[in-house]
Amino acid sequence: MKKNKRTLWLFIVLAVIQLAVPLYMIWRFEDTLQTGQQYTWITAPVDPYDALRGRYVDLQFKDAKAPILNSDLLHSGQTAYAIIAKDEKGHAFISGVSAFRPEGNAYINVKINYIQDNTIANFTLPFKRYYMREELAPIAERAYRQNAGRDGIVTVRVKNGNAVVEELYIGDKTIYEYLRAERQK
Amino acid sequence: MNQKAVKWLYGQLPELVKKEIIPAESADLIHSYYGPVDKSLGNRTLLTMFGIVGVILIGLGIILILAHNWEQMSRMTRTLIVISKLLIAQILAGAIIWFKKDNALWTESTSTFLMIIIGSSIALIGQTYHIADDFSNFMLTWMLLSIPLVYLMRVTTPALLYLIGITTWAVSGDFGDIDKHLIWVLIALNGPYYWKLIKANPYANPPVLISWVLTPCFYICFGKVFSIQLQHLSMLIYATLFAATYFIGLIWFDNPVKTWQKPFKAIGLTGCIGISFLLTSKKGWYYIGQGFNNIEKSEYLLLFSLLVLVIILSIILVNKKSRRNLLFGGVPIVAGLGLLLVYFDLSGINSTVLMNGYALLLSVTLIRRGAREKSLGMLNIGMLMIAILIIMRFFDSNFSFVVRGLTFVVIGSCFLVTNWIMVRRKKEVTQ
Repeated sequence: MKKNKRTLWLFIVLAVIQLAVPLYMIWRFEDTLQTGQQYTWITAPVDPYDALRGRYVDLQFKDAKAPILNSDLLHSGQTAYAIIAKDEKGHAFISGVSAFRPEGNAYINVKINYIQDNTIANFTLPFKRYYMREELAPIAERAYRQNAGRDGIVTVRVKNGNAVVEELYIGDKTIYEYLRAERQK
Repeated sequence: MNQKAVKWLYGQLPELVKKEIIPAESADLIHSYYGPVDKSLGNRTLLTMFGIVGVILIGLGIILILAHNWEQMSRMTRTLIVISKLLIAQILAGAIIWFKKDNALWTESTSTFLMIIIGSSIALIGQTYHIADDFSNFMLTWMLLSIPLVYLMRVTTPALLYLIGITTWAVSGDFGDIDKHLIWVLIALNGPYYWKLIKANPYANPPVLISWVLTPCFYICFGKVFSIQLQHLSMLIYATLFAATYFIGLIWFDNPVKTWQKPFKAIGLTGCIGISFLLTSKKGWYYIGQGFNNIEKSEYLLLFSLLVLVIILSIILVNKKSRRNLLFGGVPIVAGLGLLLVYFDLSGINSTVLMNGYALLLSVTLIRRGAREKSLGMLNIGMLMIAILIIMRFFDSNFSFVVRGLTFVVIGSCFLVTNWIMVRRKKEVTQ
């Protein structure tokens, strides 16, 4: 019985860790959504044959590449810091990629895919999926594909390098409002 | 010991005592040594297996129901679902630790259920916050949160799932900023549990099952971690791995038990024969010859260090047992000679001839052994190997359909005649 008691205590410690990890993840994402800075990203046109992947809308962005800052050494697979800037219309884009955490600038943690000519870094933005209900996702995917690049916009909250998708818009409507309006037509 | 054998022994004891071959005290001592025959053992194993399959199905069902993505559920509701399902699975596992720690059915099922629920909880969070491209992190977090269950509940199914999960993490190839050699530490986390099981009884179900899963997982992880060193010499390097596995099986795990209870021997031998036959192809050696000058030092280093390991194991085998099975594990040595021959002739034709000779020798040895030991199975495997060898050579050369057809008829006839002779001989012996 004594041994069982010790095992049970160890199990309780493990159970607390098992609970703490997902709760920490939730807290981090919630904190980014609640207090992070909001950016809007224009989505790029989607190749129709690559687009349908499972039950989510596969978000595409044009030019997922940017110059490497300060001649930093970067390699594929590495996590780097992409600095966010805004264009004249207020839409976000990545102005440069650095191997070191930038001070004073808003940034996103990105994974480097490959390096071009030692000066340009190609990366994947961490917010390229928008999960939806299984029967809605293909319809949304179609609507998004028809409008992406024209008025497909995604809002993202960014804090301390973490980025969380807030909402997907087609024109000025959220994807759910858009689908509802389409259904009523 | 095998419960069937114990049952048979107990059946013999009264007669042995009656005929005064052994005294009654000895029969009692034998009884107390082996203990009662557990008739319910087979049923219990079956029940445990059904229990595990049941909870895996329930867990997968929960994952699928949540994957539907109920948009009516707020983020708060989703958080509550994550916490409550984790808590329920944990309370179940905790209760089993307290009340029924020694019941395999309960410990295996609840720990497996908890492991699946941990994965589904992290997946639900990913879905809620639209997280992408985090498969490798997801797998690693899931596995690391689950592995302590193996030790706290002394369970095998989570140990197996852990090995599969860690291998999946390695296969995803997305190591990020983590050194890929961490995989060896991650695999070793299962080590103490596995070692304890092997020390208790290496032929019991749990260690045998782990060995069956561990061996292919190890090969896959090895291929992923040493991908650069495997560019030109992958076949030769894998030949050394299979041979090492085979020798380990022969040296330390070769009691007279069923074949499936000797995974190292079975996997190693199949791999050795498979690689020997693959290396009989002209094309394979031709490509090795073409890339011969580009082979890096690190590739040679890996190959030779593994060859040294195989040689050490073969010396242990010869010292401990016989050299009877040495030939079947000799593929890396023969292939190493083949590599030396490529150095003199880049076309690889000499090496191809050498490997064909070796494969033929293996087949003939099996046929001879089968005939001598009157084992129809062994004889047929030997003949099948020769048949495969001949068929493979057809792909290398251009023969007419008539020649191919005739050869197939001859091979088929040989099979029939040899089997007929063997069956007749066996009958004569029994009569």
